Amino acid sequence: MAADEKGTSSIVIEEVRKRFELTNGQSIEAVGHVDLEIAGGEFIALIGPSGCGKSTLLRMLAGLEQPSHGRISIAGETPEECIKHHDLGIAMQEHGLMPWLTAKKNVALPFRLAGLPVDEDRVDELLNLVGLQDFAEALPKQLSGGMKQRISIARSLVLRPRVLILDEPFGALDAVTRRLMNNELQRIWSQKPTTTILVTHSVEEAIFLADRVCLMSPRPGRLALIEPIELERPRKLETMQEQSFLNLLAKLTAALDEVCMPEVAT
Amino acid sequence: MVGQRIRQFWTRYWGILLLLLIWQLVVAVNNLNTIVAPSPKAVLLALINDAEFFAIEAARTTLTASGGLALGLLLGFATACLSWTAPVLSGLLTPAALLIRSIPVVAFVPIIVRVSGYGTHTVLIVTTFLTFFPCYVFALSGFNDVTQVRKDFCRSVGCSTKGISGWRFFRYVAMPSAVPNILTALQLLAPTALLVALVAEFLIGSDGLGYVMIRARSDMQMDKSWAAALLASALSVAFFVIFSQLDKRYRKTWQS
Ligand SMILES: Nc1ncnc2c1ncn2[C@@H]1O[C@H](COP(=O)(O)OP(=O)(O)OP(=O)(O)O)[C@@H](O)[C@H]1O
Ligand SMILES: [Mg+2]
Repeated sequence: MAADEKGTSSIVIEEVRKRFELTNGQSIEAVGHVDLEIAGGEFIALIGPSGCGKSTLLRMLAGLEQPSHGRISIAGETPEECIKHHDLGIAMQEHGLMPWLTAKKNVALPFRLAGLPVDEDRVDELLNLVGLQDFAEALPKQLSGGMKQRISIARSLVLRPRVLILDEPFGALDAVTRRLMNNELQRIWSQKPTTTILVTHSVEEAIFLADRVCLMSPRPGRLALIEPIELERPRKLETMQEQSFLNLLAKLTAALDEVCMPEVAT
Repeated sequence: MVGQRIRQFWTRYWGILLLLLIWQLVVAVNNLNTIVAPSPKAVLLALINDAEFFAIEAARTTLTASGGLALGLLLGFATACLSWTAPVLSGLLTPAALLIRSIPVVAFVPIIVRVSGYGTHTVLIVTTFLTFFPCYVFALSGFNDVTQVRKDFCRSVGCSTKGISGWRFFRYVAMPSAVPNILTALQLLAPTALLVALVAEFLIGSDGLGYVMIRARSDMQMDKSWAAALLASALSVAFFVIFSQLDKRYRKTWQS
């Protein structure tokens, strides 16, 4: 399956499991058995209890970890091949910016690391996209938490990846900034729909952004529920007050509570 | 403005002045022979009378110490770069570094003299050798000081984070990450380099403050010997101050 004309990639996750061998000879199963097909340009949100293997699943998608079983294909390629073509962007809860580089140079860093000539126009375009063109010369420590995350997202997009992997990128932000950033992310994504997988602890965030919300059960994580979100796009912050949104929120929150603490929920 | 400066100087350094005063008092009250302890006045006079001589000797010591430090840093850095690409080397050098660090200079100098003879070049070699290992250890641990998130990011854009194929990672991420460590190493090693240079001059040198100290003493010119010692202490403090200023100036950028 090749990339479609939008320049996005579909992802197939087949019977993927991950078992970590611990130093004491024991092993733990982090990801139980995950099957999922993601269409090109689709936005998937992944929620689930802490420690259920969400980050592990993302790391496997990003080629940072090998599945112990099963396979992952991104537009017919392995994640490693995908990385070699610079088709993958990641942004994590910890932004991982280089403190000695200015915002602009941080965004340009993927070009340097990939051994490509730095496309200054592209870097400026992304700084504009995340609204930080005036902070191009600022060092990370001179930026707020939200600004750093925006730089981190700009950095993940600079090589025009077909797949974007986000692991709680807004986890460290306050509620208001977080909603603002959700809005920003939606805007960025809708300008060029990129296949996106977002891990989040916020059910609201998941519903607001995603085409489908996947709920993982506790470790070893499996997909307990896949909920299509058919709210009209573009979604506005007011959408979060609408009844259809609230219904979804109630449903998914209950489902999350149930997988987290079955004895309490029943 | 000037008054404030003077007051600031006074509040900071009154201890030194007090020390000088006590020194003068002890010498005067006990009526000590200049061979036992010259008075601060005599030492000061020796300094002033032979200002040019002392300036040249101090410059020599400074040059050997900073030259040794620079060479040690350069070699340490280069070796750390090699070690980063070939971990076998680090397994070999890191224990050696710790071992050599615990050998006292005085025990060390005679061995080097056997190989390279007496003179300034040997002082330089000793200083280089003794600063090399700490620089190596600091630089290498700095290179390895890249957080998992940063490594993950680098790998996600197709950049290896290990070995020769990871040279871009090394150049753009690992090497800059080591700057705070190298600043720390410089700050710690600058006074050490000076001390090592002085001791080496004292033991095997043919010029420099360390040599003046011992030479003047054997000529019974205690004021001159003490003047050299005083100047050496001042140099050591200056070294420390310069490198901690450097550290202060650049470390800030590296804090996220
Ligand atoms: N490298 C590793 N070695 C051993 N165990 C690991 C490793 N990485 C993750 N684990 C284990 O796998 C399980 C799942 O971890 P993971 O980080 O994927 O959870 P998560 O769903 O992302 O949790 P959170 O929501 O708290 O971020 C945990 O029990 C964790 O201890
Ligand atoms: Mg996680």
